[in-house]
Amino acid sequence: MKVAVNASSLTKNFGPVKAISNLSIKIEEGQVYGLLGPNGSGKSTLMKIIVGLIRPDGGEISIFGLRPYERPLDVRRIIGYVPENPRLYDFLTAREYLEFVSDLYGLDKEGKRDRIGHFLDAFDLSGREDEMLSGYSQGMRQKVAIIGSLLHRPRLLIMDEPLNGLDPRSAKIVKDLLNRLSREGVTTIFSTHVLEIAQAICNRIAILYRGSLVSEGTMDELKARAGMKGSSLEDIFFMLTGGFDVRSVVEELSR
Amino acid sequence: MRASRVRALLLILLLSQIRTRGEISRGWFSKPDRLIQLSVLVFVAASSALYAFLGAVPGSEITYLRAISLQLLSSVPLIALSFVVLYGLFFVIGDNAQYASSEMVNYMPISSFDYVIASSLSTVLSYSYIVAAVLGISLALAARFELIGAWALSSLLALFCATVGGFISEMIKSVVNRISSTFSKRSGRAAILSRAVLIVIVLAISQIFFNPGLFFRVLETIAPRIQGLCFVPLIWPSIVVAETSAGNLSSAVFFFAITLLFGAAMMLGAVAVRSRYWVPVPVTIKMPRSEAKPRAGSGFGIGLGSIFFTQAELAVVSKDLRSLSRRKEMVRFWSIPLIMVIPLLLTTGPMDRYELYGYAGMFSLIGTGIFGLFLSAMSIGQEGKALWRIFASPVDPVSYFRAKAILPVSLSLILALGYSGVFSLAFNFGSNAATSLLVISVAMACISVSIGLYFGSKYPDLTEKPQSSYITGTGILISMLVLGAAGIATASPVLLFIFMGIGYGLYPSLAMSLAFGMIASSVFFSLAKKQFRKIFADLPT
Repeated sequence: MKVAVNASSLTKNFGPVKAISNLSIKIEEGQVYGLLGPNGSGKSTLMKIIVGLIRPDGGEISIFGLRPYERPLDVRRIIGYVPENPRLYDFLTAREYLEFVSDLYGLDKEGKRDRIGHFLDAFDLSGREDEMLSGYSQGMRQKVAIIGSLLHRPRLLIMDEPLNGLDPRSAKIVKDLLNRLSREGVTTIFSTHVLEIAQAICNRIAILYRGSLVSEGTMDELKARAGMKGSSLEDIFFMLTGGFDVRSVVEELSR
Repeated sequence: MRASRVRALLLILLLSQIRTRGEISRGWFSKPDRLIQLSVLVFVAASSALYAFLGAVPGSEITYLRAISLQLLSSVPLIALSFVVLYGLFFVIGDNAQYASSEMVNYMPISSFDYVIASSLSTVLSYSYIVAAVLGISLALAARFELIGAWALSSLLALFCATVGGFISEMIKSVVNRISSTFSKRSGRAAILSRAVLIVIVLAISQIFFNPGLFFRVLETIAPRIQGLCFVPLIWPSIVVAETSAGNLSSAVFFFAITLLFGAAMMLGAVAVRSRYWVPVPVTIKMPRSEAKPRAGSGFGIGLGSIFFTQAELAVVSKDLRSLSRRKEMVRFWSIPLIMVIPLLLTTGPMDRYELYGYAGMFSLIGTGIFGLFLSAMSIGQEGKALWRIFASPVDPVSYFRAKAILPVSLSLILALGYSGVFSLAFNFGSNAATSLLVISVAMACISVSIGLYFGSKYPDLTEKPQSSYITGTGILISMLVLGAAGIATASPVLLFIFMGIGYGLYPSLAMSLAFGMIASSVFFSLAKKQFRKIFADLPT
């Protein structure tokens, strides 16, 4: 198996805040790799470093053997990215936006028309594609952002909480799509707060806490490492990220 | 109306206006009461400085100054009103349409009446330092020429008129919001064009009707026969002051009463328009539906473009062109060429040939320069948070730089050619004058875009807020100063030859101007290119 992402000893600070601290991961081609962690644990920062949007303060990273800071354009050509809150150009229609993205990736005329039409149909946006994005709901924008990340057939998909705001049908389409793409050799890194989804579709899972990797592996490996055989991912997650005091917080709030 | 609710809303709106003014709003200026303190300071400084200056004026000028002072005192209410409307309007046009429909007033228990009162007062208070300056200047004149009574009346009316100006701004704001919300979800060309044209027209008309300079000229003309204009409500407060000074009390009382009625009518009008055009009200204006059909290719529609530019570059140009025609806060830039010409068109006095050259040249250069500078300086910042899309795509910094330069360079050159052609034909310029104007305007277009691109990429403001500025205050200030210096240096050889006969002839002077313009543009384009490379290293926040 080829290595899709190889990161070693990554560090990133924002002023006094340690966003990523000495983090190393290796993701193989074709894997669906889940990033879990509480808010502020460094998931989005790690994804931005992989895409090349943020330069790490220390450590090394390569994408299919290419270093993002030495050959940024080559890396971006093979990556599809959906940020956590995808800001689109509100003054464009969905079709104009997707054509714009296709042109940035240099897709040919026929290819982009077919693929845009195909994805608009799949995500139930046909008939609404000539409306301005300013009139789109959050879920519809999310669909447009996801389509934008898939148009150029990326080898590596990076999705920061891609299921946010999606209706159940579209969420199912995304989940099935990730599985299918994985079979075709596309690597996906995605973050989510819905642990059941991560458990259902990820080959491997990394749990981040305060910028550090606290555990990584398949579900079975995570359970074995935590010494919690028979437990759910939720139990392991709370054990590793110190979330067991939830009940007392709820009791305090309900007084 | 509940006073406490209006007061709370007023405070929030003031904070909103203050904090969207970039770095100026931090520190000392961050609190609304500082606006009042600033106004008091401006008032005291303006009045004492002018009073001290008047003490040194020779006696021969006193009679003339006294006559002017009475005219000024009559026009103070009108000046206050026009300034509030003008500045209020600039704020409204710069408002990000995205926020207009999500403002909390749309879903909080606030009546149109509460909102209109609070919003109008916030507009007045935001620009109160300008009214304070006018009142301070008029106080110095009044104190020097013993017209304190007239000043007190004039000031009272000025405060009232400033509030009426707030109501008028509020009406315009509601109408612009309606235009915006009606067309913002339409992608049809007719809808987009109508919206852009409407906003430019609103700006241009407001510039004409509420232009203080124009008012001065009108007042100068009409002052001797002010009674003849008693049918114009905006003149009524001036008539009150004039009639009171002349001792015609019954007439003054009458005009005072109808001034109050006019103010009340404006307030009720503003409330009615706000109620009718409250943002969440469903769209009712019908426009012919001509949906934009997607083009194959880049969508830019310029076949030749693909020879010189890459697909990605043309895609960015196409997107930016759409941004310029669809976003209310961007559409306002189209009005710059028109607004710059209005003062020239309003200059009615007889002018000799050289004065005409001077005026036409000045407006052409300033118009082209400001237009090119603003378009290019905003080009990075207008991307806002959506900049991730470019940075995550396989677009290299030089391509992106080229794409960002194409549109402002093309539009500024078109404007330079347009100004030169129109002025030369309209004022019957000879071939030498027309050529000079053309060459300097073209050089100015290139310089302004190069400077704008450099400072726009060095000081981008990507924050998305109700009043997005796209470039930091520091950036726009420095860029305007640099543009001014570069513009003067470029035009100097020609100006020195035409007006003072210094140089080796017109054409060598023109060549020098053009050469300087090209060198300055190359330097700033090169600096901008480096800056683009720099910002691509890390996604700016």
